[in-house]
Amino acid sequence: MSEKAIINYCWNDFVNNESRNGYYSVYQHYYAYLLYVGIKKGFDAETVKDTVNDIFLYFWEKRFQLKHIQNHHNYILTYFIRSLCKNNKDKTVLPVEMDDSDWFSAPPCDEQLLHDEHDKVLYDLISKQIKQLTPKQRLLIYQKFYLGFSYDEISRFNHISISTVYNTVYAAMDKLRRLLPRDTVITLISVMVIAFAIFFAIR
Amino acid sequence: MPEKEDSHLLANESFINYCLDRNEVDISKWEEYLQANPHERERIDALKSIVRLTSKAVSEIELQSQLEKLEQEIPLEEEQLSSLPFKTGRRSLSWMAVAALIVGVLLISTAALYFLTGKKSETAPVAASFDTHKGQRRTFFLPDGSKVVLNAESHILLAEDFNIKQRVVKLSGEAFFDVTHDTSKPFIVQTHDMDIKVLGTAFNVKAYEGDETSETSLIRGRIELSLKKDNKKVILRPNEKYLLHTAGSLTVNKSIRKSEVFKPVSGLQPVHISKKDAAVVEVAWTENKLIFIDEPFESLVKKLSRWYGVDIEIADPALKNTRYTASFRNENLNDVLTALQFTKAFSFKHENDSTIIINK
Repeated sequence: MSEKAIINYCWNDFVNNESRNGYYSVYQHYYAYLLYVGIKKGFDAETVKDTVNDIFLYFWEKRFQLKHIQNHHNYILTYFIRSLCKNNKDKTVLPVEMDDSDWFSAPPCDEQLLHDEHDKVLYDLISKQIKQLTPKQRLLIYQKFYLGFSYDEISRFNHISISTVYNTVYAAMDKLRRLLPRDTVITLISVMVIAFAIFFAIR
Repeated sequence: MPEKEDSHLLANESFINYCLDRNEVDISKWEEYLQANPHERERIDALKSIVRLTSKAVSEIELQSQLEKLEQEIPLEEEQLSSLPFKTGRRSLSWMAVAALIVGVLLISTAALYFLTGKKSETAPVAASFDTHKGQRRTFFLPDGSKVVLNAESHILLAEDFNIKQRVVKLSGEAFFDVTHDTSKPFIVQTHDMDIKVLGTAFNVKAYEGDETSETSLIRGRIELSLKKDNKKVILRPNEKYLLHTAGSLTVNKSIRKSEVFKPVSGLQPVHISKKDAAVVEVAWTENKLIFIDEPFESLVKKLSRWYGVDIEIADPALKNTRYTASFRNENLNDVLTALQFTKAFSFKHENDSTIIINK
């Protein structure tokens, strides 16, 4: 099933059966995308995050009345942008047109990775390290590594200098790198394979 | 082009674009570089893993923290109690792949064991138990996928053959159950004075030994109670509860009367729905809410004591019968007591770290 079909299914499950699982799946699917759109339109990240949660809360409350919606994607996007503008009238909205080339797509990291044990070990180390970052640092890492904004964009969206952005990202990645010595990263693969084999041999 | 050190590469715009397949120009640039410098392949691949995993990790953390905020705002309702951990289609796909991998490895190793030792390995059932002490609450999942929220000072013991032919748990204290549907393996909760048999449903059981009453509240589905003392069976429908006077006589009263709130007798009653936020009072504790409806001070204090893990003594017996209606969420004990003082004046002081004395 394609991702689009899955989300269609989840949305229908949500509006027809009040499915909580369907609802959360739709949220997870749209979260990064709406953040991307909102930040590109010139709203600050915190406002955008709050708005995303507000509109989804509204969807949950109105779940009995959403059956008539033909195109949930347009509905979510339109409602989101309207809420952003309505609640932040003082803001000047950047005239950002979302054309096809500008379409946000999640980095393709999920499928191939994490099937190897060694990737999981690395992943846990990295997750732990990222949790240590301050919210501000994490925000920049998120915008750089997940939303895929350029340094220039991040500096404009967050009203900080480009060198601050770069230095923050550099410091975080440098720390990560030191946490994961190169040999470890490379040898982890072979070590994990052996450890895995031994583990099951003992059992 | 780069003989750069790793950290510089990890923060390099074009390199990140290459790792995350973001930009055609950067992708071909780095692929050409690797063609020309094959000895760099290993290092670049390792760094690429880091970038991709960072991207995944940071998005996961970000999403989870926002999701938690959202969840807190959505009220607990009947059908929502069934919320097992949800998965997106994509995530469940990759988990399926992981699961398939693990199953594959297990199969191979089992086969190897079989040939090596001539024996088939068996998974022996293990009895498990869960405890909470005063002031503590825990949520966990049983091996069959059923969700349990255990309130303070409670204990659950799984039968040794749990999930083989049936699913038997022993409970003392209070717990909320959301049972995974499986007609072939009935789910049975045993308490000191009743057994509760279910097929797949959500319900709350309160059976503290030493308390005057035990009660079972049904949120969804259908359950059958077997009362040990009377050797009698009672069927419960959604939003009904069965209140059992462990000390007093066991009269079953099917009609719903308002006076029952004041003078509870054993029998079927509706669950309380809080007017303010439409929450079912009996299961409000699973959402960290403390709700009292026309509750005598003495039993209210007992609940506070369990909830906060503090001993509270009522020094003046005249206070014991004052009735309170109140609801709290995430407040500390001092704030709760201070709020209650507005209804009827009393004083309280901390005797020591774990004891509070209440007086006129």
